[in-house]
Amino acid sequence: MDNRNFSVLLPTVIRIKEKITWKHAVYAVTQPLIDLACVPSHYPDTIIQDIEKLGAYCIVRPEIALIHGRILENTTRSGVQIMIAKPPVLFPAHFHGAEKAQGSKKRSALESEDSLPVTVFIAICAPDAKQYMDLIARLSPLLRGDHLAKRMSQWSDEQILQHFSLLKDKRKG
Amino acid sequence: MLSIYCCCGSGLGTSLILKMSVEEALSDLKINNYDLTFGTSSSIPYVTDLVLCSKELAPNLSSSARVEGVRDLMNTEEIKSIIQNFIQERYHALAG
Repeated sequence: MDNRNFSVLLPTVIRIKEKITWKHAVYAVTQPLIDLACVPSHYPDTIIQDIEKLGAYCIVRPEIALIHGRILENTTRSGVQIMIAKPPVLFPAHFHGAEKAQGSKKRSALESEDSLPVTVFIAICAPDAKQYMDLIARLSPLLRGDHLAKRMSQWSDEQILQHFSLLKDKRKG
Repeated sequence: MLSIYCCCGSGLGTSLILKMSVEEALSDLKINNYDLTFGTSSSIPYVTDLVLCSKELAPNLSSSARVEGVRDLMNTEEIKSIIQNFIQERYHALAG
């Protein structure tokens, strides 16, 4: 991976202080990427459709959602947007469309968990597969560590932006 | 040889994160002889031992291979125990 060719837009941190639905959260966290003309405006719609079809695949760690979708035409550049939601946004643990495919055994196991809370939202986009993989490889080390969601929700905007500015320094691993 | 396929909806996002964590887990377990690939949930290879994906996606997948959902894609301990259990069960099945 080459640092010379890497650039990513990292706008400010969004803070949500009221209760919103998971769909609103997807729209809210992707809006700056749309406003900055990184992605076309239907990007959040495609993500919502995929989540309804596949389940909340975006929840990569407890309380952390990586809002990402298929690479769309007219995506101009890579971008990362962070959003902190207090109170947490609740995602259904199972979706109607996804539920049909489940056996009755698996369903009863899932019913004990009705919703999945998410505090930290990270929306990403990239114009092509190569840049997408580059971005994920850079982002992944920054999402490690215990209780990251809890720690991050206590950070200031500056601390959060500083943490994610490390995206620009490609480290090994 | 152990073959593992990491998948997600888009084939690029969570599957790649998962693949990076699986690499770390395999290295911790000192397993060197493996074939690790990633991609979309709709293109699972016909012949593979273990399919890993996020917990939310797991019930929607159909594969002749064993499918395991991972709760925390960055938690190598969780992934290590899934791989260990899988290997142990397979060994018992072969021995029995």
